[in-house]
Amino acid sequence: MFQGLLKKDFLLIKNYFWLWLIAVLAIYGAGLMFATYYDAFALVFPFIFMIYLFHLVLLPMTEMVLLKAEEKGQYWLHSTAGGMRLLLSKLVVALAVFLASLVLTDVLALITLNIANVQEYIHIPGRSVPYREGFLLNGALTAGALYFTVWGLFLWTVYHSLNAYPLLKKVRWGVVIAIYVAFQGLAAKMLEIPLIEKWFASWTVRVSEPGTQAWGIGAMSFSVENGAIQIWPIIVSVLFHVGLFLAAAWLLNRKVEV
Amino acid sequence: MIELRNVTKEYGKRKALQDVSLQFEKGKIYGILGPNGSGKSTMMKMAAGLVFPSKGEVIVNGQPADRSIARDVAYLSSEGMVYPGLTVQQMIEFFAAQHKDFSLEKAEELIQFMSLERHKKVAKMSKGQQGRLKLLLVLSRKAPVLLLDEPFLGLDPMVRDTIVKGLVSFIDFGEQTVIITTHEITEIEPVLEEAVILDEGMVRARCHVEALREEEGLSVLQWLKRNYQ
Amino acid sequence: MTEEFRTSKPIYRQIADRIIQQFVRGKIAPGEKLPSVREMAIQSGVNPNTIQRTYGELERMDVVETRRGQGTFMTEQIDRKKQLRIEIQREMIETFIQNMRGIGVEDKEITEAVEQFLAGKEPSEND
Repeated sequence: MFQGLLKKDFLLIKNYFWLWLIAVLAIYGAGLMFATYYDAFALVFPFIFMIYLFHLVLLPMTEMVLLKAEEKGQYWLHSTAGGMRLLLSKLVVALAVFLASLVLTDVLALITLNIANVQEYIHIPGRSVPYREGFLLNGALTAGALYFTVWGLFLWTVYHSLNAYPLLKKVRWGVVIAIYVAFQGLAAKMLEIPLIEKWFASWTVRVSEPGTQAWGIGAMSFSVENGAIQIWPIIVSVLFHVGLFLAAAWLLNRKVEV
Repeated sequence: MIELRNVTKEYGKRKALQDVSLQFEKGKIYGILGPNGSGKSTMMKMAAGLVFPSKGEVIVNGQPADRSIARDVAYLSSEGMVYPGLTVQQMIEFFAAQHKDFSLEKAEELIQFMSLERHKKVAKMSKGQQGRLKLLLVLSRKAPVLLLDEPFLGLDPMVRDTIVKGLVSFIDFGEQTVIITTHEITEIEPVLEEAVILDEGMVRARCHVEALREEEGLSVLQWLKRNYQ
Repeated sequence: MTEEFRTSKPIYRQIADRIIQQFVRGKIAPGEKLPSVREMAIQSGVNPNTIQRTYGELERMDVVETRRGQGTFMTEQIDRKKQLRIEIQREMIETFIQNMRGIGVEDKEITEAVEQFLAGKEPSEND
């Protein structure tokens, strides 16, 4: 059953997926042409960064396209699969699209870096390709994109749950935004509590040597604060977003009406 | 068997259904008639587990209708249901993967019967073809309950006729309970056993189709008109 | 196309009438096998239960005969066919006479008109 859902969801996004991969290559190609025109190879990098940054939007966008496909009649809810599986299938397919695109971008970045490195177009500490930073970048983008996507899922189900209440229906965009803002405000307040601050700081993992982490050119650089990452906030955040996903599934099962 | 017990559905102040109690027996074919906004679709969506009652309960095969009722209920919705980007074949495969009671053999027969092109995308199909595909997807299931919400909507008489023939050919009479909502009564009338008129969320009248002719000399259409005078 | 049905009579009766008519006209031979309930329902676009009733009614009238496991067959009794022919004739005459009387034609005039019609003459003004 889940396989059938995955296949259907992939078919729904397939055309957009190919289009996007072509767009990535086109942007990269444009970058190459731009760089050649100005005779400065390093100018390709802003384009690659742009593609990387697009990925933050790509995952939630894919998710939304997949959800949008169901909005007409919401027939997908007439299913024994249940909210969890329905949403998970969307998430898995969107993630697959996202990762495929990210890998393509990584390949392009690696090719470019190798050319640049040999030609000494840019300064890379130790003259080696920054694999570690690359992994961190991929990880950070995936985490960021997932953040928006899970929120998107949750807020989408909230939005459609309000369908049954005509009073709230008119202001449901407002309700959705209010919920998001309230959560952010709450999170910010909690981070100010010294106890939590201390707890978060209690477990850090060093990911790179302080002072040597920055690479790239000009303002277009990527770095890790003090070369260390706090672990607790990551765990808490992961748990919170899993909870958000489950809440979305529950809403989809119980509250979204057609 | 499907049973609505004092079902009310409210959307704010508007009542889509008001204290409706109805029973549908196993193996019979029912028609639900009534103007737009009479609550027909809401009732169907409830029996399909897509809408929940504000008051009362909807029982399908002894179980309150929620999302999982899709196991026993094959539901043809008037909108959505098929994805524009998918082909006939892909839609069939998707339904087959989702429903254990989906019979690929029946689907094959129905492709022939409905003269559908296997590799045509839904987006490229006419309304009539889409209507036939929807019916194929529902009739291929050996589900105890079939709910057809406006299966004739926007279809010309020839297609309506094909659909009626399809129903007679592929329904398991006596086993499958079928409920059909429609405006287009003429073609479907000879297939129905009982008809219910819904109006403003309430049951206005109910009849046995053949008894109506025998006792009052009326067709369902004439009966419907008389009820609205 | 699915056939149209009149509203004044139950559908099962109308289908029974049609089968009898076809039998009398020789379109269905004595002893001929009728379509199965399902087939007949599909042909006529009606509920199979209706056909079940039709066949039941015809069987009660001794017009058809159901052989277990084989299906439904038209009667082979020629006498029954003759009787049916007379019954249909009577019905037709009855309708005809009622219609004629309805427009104020007297019985004597009716016989005259029928005789003239059969002789190939135009109906005359006889007042």
